[in-house]
Amino acid sequence: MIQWKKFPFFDKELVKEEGSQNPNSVIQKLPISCTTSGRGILIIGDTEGFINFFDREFRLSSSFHAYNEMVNQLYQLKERNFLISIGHDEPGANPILKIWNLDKMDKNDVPLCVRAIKIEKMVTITSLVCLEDLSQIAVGLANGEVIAMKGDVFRDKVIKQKTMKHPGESPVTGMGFITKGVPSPVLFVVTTTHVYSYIREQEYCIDEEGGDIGNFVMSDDQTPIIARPDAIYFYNTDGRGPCFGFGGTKNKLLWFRSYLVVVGHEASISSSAGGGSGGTASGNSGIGYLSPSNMASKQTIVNIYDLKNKYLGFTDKFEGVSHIASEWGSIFIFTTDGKLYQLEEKDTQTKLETLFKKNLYSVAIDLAKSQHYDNASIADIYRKYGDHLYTKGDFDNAISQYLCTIGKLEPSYVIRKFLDAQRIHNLTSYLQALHEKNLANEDHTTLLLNCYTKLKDVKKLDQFIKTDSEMNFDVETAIKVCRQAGYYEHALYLSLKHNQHDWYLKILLEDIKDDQKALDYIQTLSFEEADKNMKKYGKMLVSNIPEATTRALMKLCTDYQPVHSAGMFGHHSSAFGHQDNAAANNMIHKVEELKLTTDKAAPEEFIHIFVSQPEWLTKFLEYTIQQGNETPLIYNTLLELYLREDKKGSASNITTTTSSSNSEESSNRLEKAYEFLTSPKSKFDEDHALILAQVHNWKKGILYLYEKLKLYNEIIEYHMENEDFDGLIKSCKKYGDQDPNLWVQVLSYFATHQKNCQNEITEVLTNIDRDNLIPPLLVIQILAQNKYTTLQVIKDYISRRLSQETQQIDKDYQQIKQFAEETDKMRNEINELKTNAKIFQQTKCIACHSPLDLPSIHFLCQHSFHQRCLGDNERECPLCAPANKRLLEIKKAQADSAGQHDQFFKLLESSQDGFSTVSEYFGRVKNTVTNHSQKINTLLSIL
Amino acid sequence: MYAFLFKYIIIGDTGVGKSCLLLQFTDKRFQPVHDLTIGVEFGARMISIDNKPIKLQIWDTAGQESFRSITRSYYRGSAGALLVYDITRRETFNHLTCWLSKYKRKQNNTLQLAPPQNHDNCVPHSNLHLTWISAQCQMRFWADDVDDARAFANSNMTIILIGNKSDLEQKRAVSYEEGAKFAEENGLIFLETSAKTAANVEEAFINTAKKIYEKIQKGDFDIKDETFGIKLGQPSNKVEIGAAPPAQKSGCC
Repeated sequence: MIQWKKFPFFDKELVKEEGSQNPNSVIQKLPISCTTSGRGILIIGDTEGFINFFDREFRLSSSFHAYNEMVNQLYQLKERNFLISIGHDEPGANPILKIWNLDKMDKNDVPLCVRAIKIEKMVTITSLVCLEDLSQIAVGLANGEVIAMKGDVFRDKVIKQKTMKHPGESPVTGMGFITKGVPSPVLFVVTTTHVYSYIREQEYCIDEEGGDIGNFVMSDDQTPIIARPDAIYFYNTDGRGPCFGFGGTKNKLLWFRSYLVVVGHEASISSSAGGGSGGTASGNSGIGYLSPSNMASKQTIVNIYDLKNKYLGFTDKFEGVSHIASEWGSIFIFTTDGKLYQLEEKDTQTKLETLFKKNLYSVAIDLAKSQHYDNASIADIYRKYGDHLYTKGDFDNAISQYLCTIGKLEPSYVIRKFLDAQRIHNLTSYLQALHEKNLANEDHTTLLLNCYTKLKDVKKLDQFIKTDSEMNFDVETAIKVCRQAGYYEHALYLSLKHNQHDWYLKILLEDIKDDQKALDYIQTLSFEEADKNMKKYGKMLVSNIPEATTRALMKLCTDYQPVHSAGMFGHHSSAFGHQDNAAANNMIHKVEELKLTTDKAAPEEFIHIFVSQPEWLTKFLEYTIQQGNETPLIYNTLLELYLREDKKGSASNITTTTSSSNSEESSNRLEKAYEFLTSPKSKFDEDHALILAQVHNWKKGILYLYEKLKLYNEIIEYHMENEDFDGLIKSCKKYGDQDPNLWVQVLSYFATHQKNCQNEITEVLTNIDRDNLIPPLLVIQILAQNKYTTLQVIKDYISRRLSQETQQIDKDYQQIKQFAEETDKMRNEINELKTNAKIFQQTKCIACHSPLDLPSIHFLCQHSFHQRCLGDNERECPLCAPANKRLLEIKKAQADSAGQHDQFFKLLESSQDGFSTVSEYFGRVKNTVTNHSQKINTLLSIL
Repeated sequence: MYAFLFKYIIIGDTGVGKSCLLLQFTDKRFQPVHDLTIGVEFGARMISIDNKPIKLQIWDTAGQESFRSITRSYYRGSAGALLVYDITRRETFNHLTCWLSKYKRKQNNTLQLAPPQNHDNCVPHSNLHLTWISAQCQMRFWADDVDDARAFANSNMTIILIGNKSDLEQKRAVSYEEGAKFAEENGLIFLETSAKTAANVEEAFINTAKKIYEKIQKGDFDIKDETFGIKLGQPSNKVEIGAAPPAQKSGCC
């Protein structure tokens, strides 16, 4: 016989007399006819018409005489404390239905009988069923008739008894109301041959098989259940539902919580093997059934099935079961010999532990779920199950258990267990599930991808990476791992999808080495990104694909806009067809608007990337300059490039046997460089350019720059170094006006020069002479240093100079003489003023030219005035006063300026002849000469 | 609510994976260790064909011979049947003729009265030769007729042949071609499935439903007649029950 697993989930216990080991005597003595239960009491009707109430301790709490004869049926309402009973008051009389209110007692301390209805039919009552509100009561009869009573049993004077089902040959064996999920209550009626349902008194035959008495029960969720010898069938209002093939005759059914309690005789093995089809098992009088003697018929078996979780919760043999009932969470079994057994369900924890001991984890899980355990506890059972399978080596199944723990159990627990190359498949599926539930962290992603790559499961990897629309993993990690494992394509896909430009380019360039693609990609990026990445990867790109990169850079530095946009629109418009052209155009307009605002990259920032590609740098820079995007740095660099190439060119000229084109090229370049240098547009940094020119020894450039920078001395020196006499003279002539000292330098250069350069000296001297730049003595001194210099060279010069000097001296003497005379004259006058009396002989007033009269005033300057003509001012001669005043002012000014050294130096610098200035000052400040003598000495020495 | 309800049954030898197919289809999971089905179990799922919601009511029967008498009563009024064999066990394929003949027999809707026979004839024995089995089957049909007389299936039943456990390629004992040939000869749809990997499981149920739906479109059924295993979706329970005319019940237990 095929059976479910058996578990001892119920404790069987004999209900004993209080304080003794004997069976409960009260119950033992009761001639039980029917039982019911509910609301905390067990109700037993007996053959003597008593209804007995038992409490939890199995004490007879109360008992009353309901009928004179046997109590036939009992029905206890669940929601209200009402008891419905059917019994006989007189033998042979019509049965009476009584409704008792158990909450109200009459004067005899007996529950109040609310209503008593005499059943009109004189047939044995086989079943009784009521709706909770007592609006419908149905009574099933042994003749197959069903009587329905409808109405308000508390108020209606007459309750009409209506025959719902007409009598037939098969008795009614069970009835039940279905009220849940139906518009009106459905009465379910089972006879020994048929199953009917009644909806609003309309009869439907549901099945052509029925059930014996006691073989019908309604489950708590109102599923009718019928036991037949071959199986236990579930029904619904339409007909048969699932069935369970438990063979054997059944006597009684009871629904207890989620269990089905079946009392019956087990079909013997030989008779059930044939399928136990309809009636064979019960009707079979073969050897198989009766051979275990009469014991078999007496011995009944009680099975408690958990139909949902599919196991047998209890099975045991009893000596003839007369009644079963359930209350207080236990099942009570009344045996024919008057004993009462209590079957108490174990608590869930104990049950689970039993299951764990037997390693029946899947059952445990179902059980826990049906007991509404919380997720954490269920996950824990899954974990136990997984552990069990793991230790057994069944990794595939273990992992599927662990999968159910996701979200509750720490993933590392599982991962650690499976972190082994042989179990990588399992680990993969676990990690995959973690990702599906969005519970994966970076490490998990890494691990999963590593698993994929280790398994070389490209398909899965594809699936994971490419079809995963939600971002439930860490993209960067994924890229990293893919890259490490060499799955560049995937890494690329990911980075492209998630706009990880940096990674994308890194992979393209460093791993795949697809420079063109990388460059194309950069050009699709937004300006900022493109700029950034170009700086980063430009060097590599330039060295590999210089031309394309340079072009890209040029673009980037002028009017950059992402390439893809145009391509994308092209694609779109083709996809949409003509209708959407307008839209596409709109978008293009938008892009154009954007274009107006596009930035330009600073070309100088890209110079460094061209480190090994000067030619392309040249092109790039030339382009940027053309575009008018310029900074000194670019010019500097470009210049340097021109020069460097030149250098290289010349170098190759030397090493290889000169090719004319090469030299031509180099000269071309120089030409270009010079053009560039002298171009008024150029904005390079001159000092820098100078250094460059010097470094590259580019004569033309150096000279140009010197000139531009007014570094005439440098030019001279340059020529000197190069012994370029012509150039020297030329430049002296050119710049002599600006800096006469050049000549002196040139002179001394020639003078000290080893070679004989008479002509040059002559030339120089002529120039010096012309402007009288230095005293002849100095010239001679300078020239004396050169032993080659002959008198011939300077003869003309000397004689000319000497004659000029002589003339000058003569002139000076004359002047001195003149001044001396003037001074003498003045001295005499002073002396005269000091010593002789002054005679005023003026007769006329100078002012009014009228003859003088008194009072008159005479000044020492021989001017006389009327006092009146002088007015207030009689201390000065008005004629001489201005001249005197001027003199005084000059004197004062001289004294003042003597202290103003700054001005002195200014004057000294600006004057042609420093000596005369000094002497002039010396004259002015002779009073204070002692204070300044030192300074003056210093000055003189300088001069 | 649904536009149509199709009743399916799953039949085939024990252990071919009938319950697992159902579990995979209804719950999308696979239970490696599945208890033997005792009796008849039930599963349901909504599918959509031609944008119409269709409820599949699937009866999963015990494959064990000893339950045949119980399961047989469920054959009646099925619109579709999934006849399942195990590609790794040759005998389950060999028994197909038995399963199929039973239906054909039932289609005749003949009621023969004969004394009950030993039903143990067709208990699978892997080493039996096919012809021998055929002979056994012949004997069985005669026996079956008694019990199956009332559990007839309608002639319009759509049957799909399913070679299950296609994931166990290395243990294959029945080639795809053989299965396909058998299906063609008997006018069945054919698919190889794996309840474990879920390969073709959806297809098996849905293709069958499509076929039934086509037949409805063609007017092959009187959809009011519930013996075809098709029910029109209706809002109230009462009408559904009312639509089942008592006259359809024939025979008696």
